[in-house]
Amino acid sequence: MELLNLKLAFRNVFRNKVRSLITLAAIAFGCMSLIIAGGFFEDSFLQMREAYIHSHLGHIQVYKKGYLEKGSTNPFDYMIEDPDKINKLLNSVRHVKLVTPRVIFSSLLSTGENTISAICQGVDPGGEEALSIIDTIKGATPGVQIEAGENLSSSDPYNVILGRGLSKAMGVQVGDFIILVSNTAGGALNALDMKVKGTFFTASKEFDDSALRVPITAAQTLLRTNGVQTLVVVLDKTENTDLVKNQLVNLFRDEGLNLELKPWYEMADFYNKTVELYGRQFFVLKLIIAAIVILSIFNTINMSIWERTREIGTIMALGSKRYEVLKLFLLEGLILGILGGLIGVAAGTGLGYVISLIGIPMPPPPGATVGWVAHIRIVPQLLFSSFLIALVSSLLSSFYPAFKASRLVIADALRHF
Amino acid sequence: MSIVEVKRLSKEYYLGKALIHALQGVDLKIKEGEFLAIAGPSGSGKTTLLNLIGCIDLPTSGSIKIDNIDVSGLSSDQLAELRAAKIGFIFQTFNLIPVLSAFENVEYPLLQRKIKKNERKEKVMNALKSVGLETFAKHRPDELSGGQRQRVAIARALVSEPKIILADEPTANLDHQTGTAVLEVMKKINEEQGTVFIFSTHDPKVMEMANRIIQLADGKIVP
Repeated sequence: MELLNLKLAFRNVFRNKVRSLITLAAIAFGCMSLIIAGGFFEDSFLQMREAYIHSHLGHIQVYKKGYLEKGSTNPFDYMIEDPDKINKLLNSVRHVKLVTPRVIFSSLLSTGENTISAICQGVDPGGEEALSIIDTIKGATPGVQIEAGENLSSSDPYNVILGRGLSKAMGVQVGDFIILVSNTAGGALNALDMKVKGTFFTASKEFDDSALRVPITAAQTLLRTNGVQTLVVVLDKTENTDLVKNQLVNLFRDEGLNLELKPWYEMADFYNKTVELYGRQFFVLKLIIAAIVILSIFNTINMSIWERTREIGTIMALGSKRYEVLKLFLLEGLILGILGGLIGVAAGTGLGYVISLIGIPMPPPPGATVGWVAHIRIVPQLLFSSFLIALVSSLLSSFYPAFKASRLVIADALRHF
Repeated sequence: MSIVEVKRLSKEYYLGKALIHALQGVDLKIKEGEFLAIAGPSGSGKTTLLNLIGCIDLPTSGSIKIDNIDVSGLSSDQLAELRAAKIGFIFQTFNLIPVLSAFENVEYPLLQRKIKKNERKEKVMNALKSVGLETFAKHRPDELSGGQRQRVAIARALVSEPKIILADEPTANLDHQTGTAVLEVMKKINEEQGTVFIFSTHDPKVMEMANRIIQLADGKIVP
């Protein structure tokens, strides 16, 4: 029975070729649209995520316990005093690619004429340069890009690089000297003469407007400390964040280390909100596409049932039960859904590939200053969910006409012309 | 013994706002082996009576027994099983499934029951043979003539070895010669296999072939 039903459903689908082709085109187009739109969002989210991670967040940041709660008011009370030992320990964990130390403090910058307060990051130049490279995305630009001049180097400790917005606000250029003033760990005031070696920009305008970087040795000299506040951990893949996070939590507990940590996604508030916003928009888009697919198949199956009323009467007279008629028409919907979905998946993948070859130039997103080139990132989950939406929409839209057909009074159905 | 027993059978329905009394208190007993014609002008209730006996419509009142089973209390699934087991249908417009071949059309009623493939094939080929169409097994309905289509329909009605075959004006869409040939096939099956045939017609020449003729007029049997 099942085989003949399948044969019957298959042949019925192609009975009216033009109508079936139009329906298949609607399903395939819907599925393809979902893949293209989804692939676009997927790529945007990924590029944004990696840009945030590789600009300054890293994958996981490790601090001395209590820093997250009280560190902003008393930063020097929460210094990691033996960073090298912790660094070594972190580096021994699987998936950890890089660990780089930072000291972050409030400072005043002065040119003599202008004085501005800014966030100063004391960093390891080599480590930060490696952190800024996004090697998980082909052709991606580094998370921190030098706009003018050069990047920091360890051999030259009394140099500084300024965020693009900050350097504009201060009116300084590469080669100028500025005075960096801050409180030492002991509470005294200290100042260093620094040479502006370059200006940089990242994905975050907010960061570029308020941050400067100096080599960590200069920062430690200024603050009169040997400790660091943060150890920034970079992983081989962003997807391993939770895995490594859990490993580290266990490691800190087992080793009795007085440390705490924060993964990137708890720090990337702007990214999270953007993903939530666009994710909701994409959901609405999915609903609209599903509605189009449902209406189109509903129409086809409804027309088909109207035309085949007498045939339905005949098969029921021959002893088919009502649920078998329902099954037959649902099977037709399922066949249309599978075929349309497969065509859509193939077309979406092909079109996505072509669009990605060319790239879509995008303006800077909110809160950023640089544009980017969007691609269509096709991941198996997206193909699967688009195919599933096509399939479920097809089944849903077949249900009412199929149910109606199965409820016909046989004698009335046989009288139908 | 009666294979069909109809008591005080009535059927009313609305056509627009008008109440139509399609059948009014019909009593009828049909014995095994009969080749019965139901005659009468258009609108006399022939099709309604056949539909009610075939359990594809429900009466307004009265009772129907098929092979001693009172069908009035049966669910739609039980009625479907009863039809599959005991009743075959031949329609005026043949009603073959256009996307299936002659073989598959004849096979269709057997699929309602669990019969092995080899046995099914044998039954289908025998049924096609008995209507002289064994060489047309792979043809689709649109590749067959009217007479051939009706013979496929007879084979389809026959294949599940039902006790009763109902035929609503089986020759109305066929020319006289083809119609007679189709009826002869039906008659032969009736005589050889004892299958009860109940068919409606208003063709006097068709009526001549019947063992018994029931005359209907205005929903009643004319004595």
